[in-house]
Amino acid sequence: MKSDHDHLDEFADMIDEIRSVGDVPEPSPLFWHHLSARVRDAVVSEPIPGPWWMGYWRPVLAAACTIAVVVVAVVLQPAVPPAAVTARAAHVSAPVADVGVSEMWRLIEVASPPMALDSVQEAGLMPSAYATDQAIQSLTPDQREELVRLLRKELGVSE
Amino acid sequence: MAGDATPAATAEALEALRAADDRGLVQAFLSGQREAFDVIVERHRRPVYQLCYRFLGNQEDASDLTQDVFVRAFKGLSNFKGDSALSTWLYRVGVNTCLNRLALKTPRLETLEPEQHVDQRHPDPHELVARGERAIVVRRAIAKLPPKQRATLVLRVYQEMSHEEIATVLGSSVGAVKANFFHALGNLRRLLQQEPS
Repeated sequence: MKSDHDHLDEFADMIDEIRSVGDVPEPSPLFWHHLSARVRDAVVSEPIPGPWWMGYWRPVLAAACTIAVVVVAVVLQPAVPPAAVTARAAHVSAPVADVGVSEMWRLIEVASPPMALDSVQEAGLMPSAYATDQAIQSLTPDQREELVRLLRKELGVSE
Repeated sequence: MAGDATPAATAEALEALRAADDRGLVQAFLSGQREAFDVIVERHRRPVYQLCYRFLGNQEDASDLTQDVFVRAFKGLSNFKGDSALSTWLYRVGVNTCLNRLALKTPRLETLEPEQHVDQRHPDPHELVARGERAIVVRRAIAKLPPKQRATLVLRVYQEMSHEEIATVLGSSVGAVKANFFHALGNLRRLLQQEPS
């Protein structure tokens, strides 16, 4: 029976043998010249690609614009007096008609070009679950009601 | 504009590119200097061709595949982030191209004349012939290995790459490379034992 040492010797001999038959016949010098010419011809109509990071700037810029607009909107939002909140609470079932067409949303739509969800995920710009919860908690009752209405509408659930 | 440059200026630019390292060539190419890719081809065509030959075993397929490798490299060079050497990246493109070809068809194994791989100064002509025939047997056995084992064997024994470099080229772990190499040697021993020596 062969020992591990014998197996190692056998493998070492085999590697030597493999190496000894691995010579590649050297093509003529003209071959190399033709090869370069063939490669050049094959790519002559191909555009030169840009650096790898160039593919990322569009979604990142779009996301940055969106975030900036949202931050500005939140900062500039006027504080709602308690009386107004009470008054609005009385009409909580009435849908807020102007949210979808408000100037703020229009501004966001204009500032952010159409972007696939995959691009946003690739750019690492998806909000965390914590951020989403916090955002919902900061909504007024009217806004929450409207959010529920919009979600139901999106999901096709009747009221 | 390159088209407006005088021949002397063009030759000077080409010389400057030839003096640049691989990283500089990639940057020059990605910033629009098409000639930089010519220099990349000039610099790496021989090892890429040798890799393709060792996978496919004949000059015709190796030549076609080498061209394919560089065309793919041209289109994909923007994905090269400089984490590894350009040669390693080109090997990766080369191995993938060869494995794709092997998956489509079994290449014809070129029968080398004994004088192409046997030392001509050898005094015994019978031994010359015997060694030539043995070389064909070994090459045929290598061609029968599963693709990943064959790739690992070629890169380790002929291209003399480290396990880590092979792992980068094949996109696998160092452990998987070591296992593949060990299995390749075991299979090769079995295949050679089946052949008449």
